[in-house]
Amino acid sequence: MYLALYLLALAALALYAPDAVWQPGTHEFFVILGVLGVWRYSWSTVHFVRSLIYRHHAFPVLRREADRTGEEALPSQVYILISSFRIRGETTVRAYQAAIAEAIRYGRPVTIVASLVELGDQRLIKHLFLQMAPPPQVRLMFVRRPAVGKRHSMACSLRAVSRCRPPADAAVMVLDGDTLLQPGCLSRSLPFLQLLPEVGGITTDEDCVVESGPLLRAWHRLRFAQRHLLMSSMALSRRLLVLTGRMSIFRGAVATDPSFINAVEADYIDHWRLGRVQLLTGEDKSTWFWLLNAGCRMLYLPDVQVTTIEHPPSQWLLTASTQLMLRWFGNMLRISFRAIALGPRRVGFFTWWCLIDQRLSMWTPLFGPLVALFFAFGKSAIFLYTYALWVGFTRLIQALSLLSVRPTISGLYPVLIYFGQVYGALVKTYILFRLDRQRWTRQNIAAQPQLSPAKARMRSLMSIYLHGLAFGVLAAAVALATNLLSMPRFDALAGLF
Amino acid sequence: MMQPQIVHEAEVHRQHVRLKIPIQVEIDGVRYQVDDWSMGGFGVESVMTSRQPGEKFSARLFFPFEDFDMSMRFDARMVYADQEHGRFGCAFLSISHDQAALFRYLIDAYLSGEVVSAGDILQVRGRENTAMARYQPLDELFSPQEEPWSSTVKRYGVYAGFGVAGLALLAFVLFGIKERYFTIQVSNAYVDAPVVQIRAPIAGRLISALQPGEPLVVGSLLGTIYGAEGASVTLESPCNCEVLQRIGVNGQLYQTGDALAMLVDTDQPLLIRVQLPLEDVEQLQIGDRAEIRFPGQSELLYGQIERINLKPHLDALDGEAGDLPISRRLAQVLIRPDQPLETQDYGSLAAVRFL
Repeated sequence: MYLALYLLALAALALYAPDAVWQPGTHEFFVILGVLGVWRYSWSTVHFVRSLIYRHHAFPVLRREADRTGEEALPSQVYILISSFRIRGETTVRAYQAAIAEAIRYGRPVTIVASLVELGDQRLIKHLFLQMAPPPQVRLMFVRRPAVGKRHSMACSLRAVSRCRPPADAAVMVLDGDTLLQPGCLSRSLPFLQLLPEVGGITTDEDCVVESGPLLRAWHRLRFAQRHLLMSSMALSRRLLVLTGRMSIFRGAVATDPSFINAVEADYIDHWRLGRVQLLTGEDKSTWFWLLNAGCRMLYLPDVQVTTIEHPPSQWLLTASTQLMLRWFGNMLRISFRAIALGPRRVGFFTWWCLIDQRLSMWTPLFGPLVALFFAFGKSAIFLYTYALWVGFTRLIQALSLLSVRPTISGLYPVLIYFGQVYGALVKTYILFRLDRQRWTRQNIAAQPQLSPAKARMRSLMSIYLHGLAFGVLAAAVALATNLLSMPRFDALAGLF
Repeated sequence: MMQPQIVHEAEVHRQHVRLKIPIQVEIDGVRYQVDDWSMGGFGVESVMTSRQPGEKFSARLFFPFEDFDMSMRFDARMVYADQEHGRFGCAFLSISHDQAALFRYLIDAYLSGEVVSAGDILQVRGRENTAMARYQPLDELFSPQEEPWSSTVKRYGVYAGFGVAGLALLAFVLFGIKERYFTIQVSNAYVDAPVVQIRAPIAGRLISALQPGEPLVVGSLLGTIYGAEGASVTLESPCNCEVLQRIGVNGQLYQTGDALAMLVDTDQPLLIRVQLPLEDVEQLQIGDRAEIRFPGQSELLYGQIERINLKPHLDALDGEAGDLPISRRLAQVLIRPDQPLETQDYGSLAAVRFL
């Protein structure tokens, strides 16, 4: 219904557009947006095509091989690490029920490592485990730790796995406490570790159940659909841009490597201005970087899906998305510097360029709105109408492209795509200059640099200044492109004297 | 031995207060029910006369489970003995590492209200489960470190660079705003000069004496008109001029008043004429500098305002009759270029920007 409404609104906007919208004066506007559009949309097309190739040609070959090997390729021991902290009881029950049920279904030794803080969770999970009465090969291991963050929790759990001396072919699945394993997830995912010895980590498609209103539900589902498309494209190069913390699988030897565990527990970046920044969040980026640095390949399984239960931190889209984007994009920006520094030879050219593009694409979505605003200010407000038409049409195409990864799309997608691009770019550029600000949304754990008040104020002012400078350069460039400002002529300046 | 299905691994321990857990202690062959205990010691609601406060002795703790008891030997010291209230307390001495681990485990297991099985106990005894809790790499990694001076210099150098960049951007934006909103620019200016038009004084055939490019002085022969019945009139230059346009064709017949040539007075410099609305002219004054650009020429000329005419002849405006409304009548600004213009530039369109 939303889609029908969107199409009607767009058609009405086009049909009742003032004549001025179609006048030659707007050509200049479209040329400026078009140049940027050609770049951005052709890049999106590349991902779209690669995604199709991966899902319809490259991966099915792998799947057939995996199916052919059968149970022989399954690891002799699997560890499922589940981190839970302040997750609602009903979500915890569903997540553990799904994990235990999948472990039972798998039919081989599985140890579920429950990484917990609260005693209540421990009781609940133990009760659940006893109630489901799994066979002896399914074990439950509790790792209780203080509420100092997911990194510490994961590291403790990985060390607990390490002390179990897992066999060489073991696999370690890392799950969030709000992720539901779907039936067959283990048996359909794990054979690839033996089939592809160069692969160090695997992740899968995700979809979500959102306990909120339709807008936030659509926003979350849109993000997962976009993730599916992008991950499929990246997977063609056998390297991904993240091994998602909601569900990833690592080779046992990787997950129990002391340097891997240390990277999970105590990762940091040395920033020229902020000094050493301890990474509070983004353990999935740390594990991803570890694999990338070690030269391991990564695999994406488009035909295996896990479901996450989303509890947005607010019922309002703006509040919830701001908090989540600050965390996600902060993690991305903190780690990607290092990944880019590895160079295209180490990372692979396509992956490396995608990392570069992540840096560029945080500025490009701001270009369009600025062009429209500056044209409206300098020439005519009709350009805002023209821009609305342009956005409405292009985002509709982008939303329709998601039909290649999901059976249906929402009419809210075009609007949310635009929101995600522009507001996301604002959040990215904000956090780029404040990489030391990190916060876990649910746990309310934040990283606070140990600075004197004067130094903290100075650092904050410098962040504001650099952010303003960067945005000013962008705005000045757009103002130049739209002739709102003209390039100063030195001969003109000389004429003053 | 078969592994237990539920294992407690690497617990992080809290400070426990005194616990009400039903364990027993055996001292000198007598078993007492322990009223409360902690990692530091235990208290018993009973009277014991065989030991005095401060005295050290060996004892044994008994942990009752569903189907078995577990005991643990330890050394203790009596801390107090309250005969009046029938209570005494003892402190543990030199608890071993394993004993401490077992204690902690039991405390947590009891607190959670869970039934502890024998397998759990054996499992926890069999490993070094406190080692990782002590592992604190973060302190080492994230303790403040002294920065080398070269890094400090480099950082401040980058700060300075960004400072300069900020100033440059500010200057650029301010200059751009001034250019766009506070600078008068026109693109309909043109080169103007005093022009003399030579017309036919009588009707007749023109015999021109004009040579292309030849400068004229006052009285120079321009040509002769031969009228009917042998009449002729000689045309002379009224000024020191150059021929701007030769209209009359040699040998052709012309009527009285027909234009024959246009001359430019070379005694007067060529000026740039700009027409501006009054609100713009109010910002200008004689002597202001202006930048002049001719289409197709990259080189810029500069000049200054020589005259501002606020009372132009109404019939001279835009070549139209003087029936324009007052609001559309334009003032005339005349700019004298620093370098004199060539006569052939007369009439050229120009863009003018007042500095």
